[in-house]
Amino acid sequence: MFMRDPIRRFKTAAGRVLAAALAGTLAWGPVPVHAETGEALPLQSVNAEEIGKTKQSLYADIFDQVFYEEGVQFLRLRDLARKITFTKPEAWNVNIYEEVPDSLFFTNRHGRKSLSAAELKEGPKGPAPARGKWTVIRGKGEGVNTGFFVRDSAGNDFLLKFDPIDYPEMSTAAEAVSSRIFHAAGYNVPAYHLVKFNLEDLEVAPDARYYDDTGFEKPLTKDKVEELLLFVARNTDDSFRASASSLLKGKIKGPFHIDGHRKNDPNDSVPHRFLREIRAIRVFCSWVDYYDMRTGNTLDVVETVGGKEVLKHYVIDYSSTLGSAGYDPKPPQFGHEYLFDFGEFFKSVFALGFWKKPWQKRWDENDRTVTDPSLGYFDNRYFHPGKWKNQIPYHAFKDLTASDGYWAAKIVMSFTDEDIAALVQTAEFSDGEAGRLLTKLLTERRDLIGKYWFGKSTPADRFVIKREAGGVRVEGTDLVSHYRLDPAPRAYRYAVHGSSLKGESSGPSVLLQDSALAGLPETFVLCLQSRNAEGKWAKPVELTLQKDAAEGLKLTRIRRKP
Amino acid sequence: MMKRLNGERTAVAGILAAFLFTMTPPFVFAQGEYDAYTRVLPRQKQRETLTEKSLGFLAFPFDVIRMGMDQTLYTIEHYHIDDKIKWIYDRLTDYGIYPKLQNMANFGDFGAGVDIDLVKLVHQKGNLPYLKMKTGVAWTSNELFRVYTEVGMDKLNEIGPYGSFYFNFEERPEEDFFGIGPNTSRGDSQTFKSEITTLETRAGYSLTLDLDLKFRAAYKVANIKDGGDEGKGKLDKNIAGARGGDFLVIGSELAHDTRDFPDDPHKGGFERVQISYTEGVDGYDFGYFKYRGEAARYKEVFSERQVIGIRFVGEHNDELNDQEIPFFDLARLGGYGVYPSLGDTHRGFQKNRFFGESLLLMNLEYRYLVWQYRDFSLDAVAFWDEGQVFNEISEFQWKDFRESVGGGFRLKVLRKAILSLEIARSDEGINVYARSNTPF
Repeated sequence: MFMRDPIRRFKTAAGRVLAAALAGTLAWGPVPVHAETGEALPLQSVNAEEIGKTKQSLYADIFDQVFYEEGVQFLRLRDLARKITFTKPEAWNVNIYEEVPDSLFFTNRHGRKSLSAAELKEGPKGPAPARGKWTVIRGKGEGVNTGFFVRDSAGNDFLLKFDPIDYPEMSTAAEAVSSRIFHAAGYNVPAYHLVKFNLEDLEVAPDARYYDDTGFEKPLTKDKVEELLLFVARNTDDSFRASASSLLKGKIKGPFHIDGHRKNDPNDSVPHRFLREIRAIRVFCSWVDYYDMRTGNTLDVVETVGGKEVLKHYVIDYSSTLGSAGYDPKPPQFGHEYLFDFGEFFKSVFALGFWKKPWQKRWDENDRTVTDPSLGYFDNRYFHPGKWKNQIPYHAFKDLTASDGYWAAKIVMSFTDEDIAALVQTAEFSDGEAGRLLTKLLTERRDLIGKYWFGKSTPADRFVIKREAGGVRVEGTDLVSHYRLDPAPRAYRYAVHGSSLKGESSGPSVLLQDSALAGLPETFVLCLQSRNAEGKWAKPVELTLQKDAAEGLKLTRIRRKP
Repeated sequence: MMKRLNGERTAVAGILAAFLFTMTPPFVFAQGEYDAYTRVLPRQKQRETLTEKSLGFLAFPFDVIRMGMDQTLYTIEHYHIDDKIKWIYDRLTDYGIYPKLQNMANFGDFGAGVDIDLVKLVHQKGNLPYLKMKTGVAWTSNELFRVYTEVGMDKLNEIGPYGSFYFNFEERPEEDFFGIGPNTSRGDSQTFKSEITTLETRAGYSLTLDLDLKFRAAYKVANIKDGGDEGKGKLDKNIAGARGGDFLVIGSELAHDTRDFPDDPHKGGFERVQISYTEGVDGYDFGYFKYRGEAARYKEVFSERQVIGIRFVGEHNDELNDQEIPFFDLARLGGYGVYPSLGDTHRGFQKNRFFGESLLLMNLEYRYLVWQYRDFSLDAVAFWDEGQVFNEISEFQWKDFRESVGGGFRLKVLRKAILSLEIARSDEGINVYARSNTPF
């Protein structure tokens, strides 16, 4: 009866609208944490049927990110304000100690506990193609290099990808090494195995089809397979070498968006541009020159984790890494410029052609040739970890802060020389010199990354609190010294917020005298800052310390300035 | 009792915890005394609010456009439409059919055309590799309708003779004419329509890879009528050639071309000398010689990404005795200067802005690479066109030179320009060009 009351009816309707708006707000992106403990909530099951498959289009991705977003970003007032003020938003999923907890995107692996050489070489778990006949079931629909899907004698499906005829081992080696690096770093990666086979090992399913260069789907016959294989590199014994990617089990739901998020996945509520592990992909990509990192090279798969069906997010396709661009060596500007880089473009225009870009210098110095066909074009001269770019400019990668970069660099630096050598062994180069050179290049590049990102933020880490006579010592490890990136000692200074307590030290070690502690509140913030190689004070690290009867002090939070 | 049980449980839990703590591998608390990988998050930022989201409201209308564009691009990619179009084009060219989009002379103009190699069309290229049988049709809105056919013999090798018979019909519905000489006014614009039919015999000999000699003899019928643009004045019928005419033309051309890559030269150049005589027939009192010389040079400067190109053009039309030169065959200057335009390049002025018996022109361009991605590249170009028309040689004056300056960008695929966007300025205003070729 009361619904006839117009005022009440209006209020009810307004309430519904408000509730819907609120729900919309919440659905947009609360970090799923417990309201009181602040602990990330356990995973929620998803209904695989309700989650649609996202569309993947390289053309749309290029249009959106390279042209549309580069212009329209200035109409988004918040982004515009950030640009004007030279600020970047902090990542939302960083824990109280500046680390990224395990998630459906990322699992802390080598950075948390060193994997053995065997574990590194094994890489992601997944079956290798079983011996016996392999049946070609369809052609590869996307990408630029030759490939097709096969089913092995055990019934497992694989995608076979090959090396271009003039660059044997180049892209298959790149895929073997880089996929394992990404996996060890923490990303979800399908298993890639190097395989060797002969034409006789292949048979073709009667219903196999493929898209040829006419754009029409055609039957894939044995003759056609042989014809396609005419344009791929062969081993010296005339056999074929391929990278076999184990197809992921589970329902495929298309790629995940690098910037946005999937609205109907309760475990994916944070826009990805605010996830540290997504932003920091750029750092790992810079290490292995994964210029082709884009939405199309990601994949969401419904899998069972901890008894729940969840959507797991993978980073796939590593054939365009290191010196390879898939079907040819990496063009020299890759890694230095976006596909169309407005900044570089305008610099070139206004320089009237008199400015030689670093990659142009390098290309000229190299006589515009690729010296080792199995490595493609990969070197470290003019490599700048902070300026490295993939071909598509996502907001997530541009939002990478000093603290995000520091986090990623810690993981990169956790790979020892021996680890890298072990990883490079998986490339199975026929020429040992290529392997040695790649190891050297990756090692050098690792150090360049560490040096750069550790220079942007105060490189004090792994804090230990020790009671000493007369006080409590808060001591960290200087990662630059630890990894011997710079032999010169680093000057440090410290200060306690809201107090006059401050001083200088030769390393990240501060002795807080009992007498000084007595004058501090129960919880206080100790700020540590180091000088970087340029002599500037790096962005500080803030330690929140709580007085503790047993240990004197307890570290409750680490925060790095973004 | 409960208290004691609780106490025992606490003790057991404590022992268990202590045991677990000592047995736990150090990596669990890899960074000393705290679990660095705890799932506890600081509550610094937990949601993107509606207010924050709404700060992007200015972009919302564009987002709708983007969605449409994305869907289109997705459809193209998903259904391999681009590959299909390319395949269809390749198949057509296999059959000797070359569809083409006509050059845009101005924004808004559009057109299409097709060239057909009839020998290829009937699959006789293998049997008759030297037979040349071509026909084509082209149309550009407000500018041109053209059909042509050419039958003859191609060169046996790179060096050697060749020849053909050629038929061409061109209708130009709206050609501008501003008067003759250097001091005409833009305000005196007249418009005319021309229909020119040409029957021609061509013969030539390539003396070397770079050097080519050509002869031609043509019969030409020109119908000149009032132009289609009602907003402009009608053509003054007292001007020589305003009523058209029938003509016999004989001429020759010597060309020397050393460009390294004709579509995008970085080195070398070309020189071309043409001489022809035209005689009015069927009672038309025309008779004149046409002399034309053209030379261009290209040079990389500082690096191979920077090229300077310079071109000189000179033309003189010399009437015989008291005979006349039809206005439409005078030297023309103005506009972008590439077919279907008949005038030479002076980009700051509109097409056919100047008519005269003689012409002197210099085009200077500085081209430099500003972007490249695989087979695509983009050059920036800065140019300076300096030229004038005049009638008799004795009337030449330095002060009559007019200049255009400007710049633009040229998008190339495999070093062939597919889009040139240029803006030029002169004392008569600004012109903007979107073309699929380059002036020289």
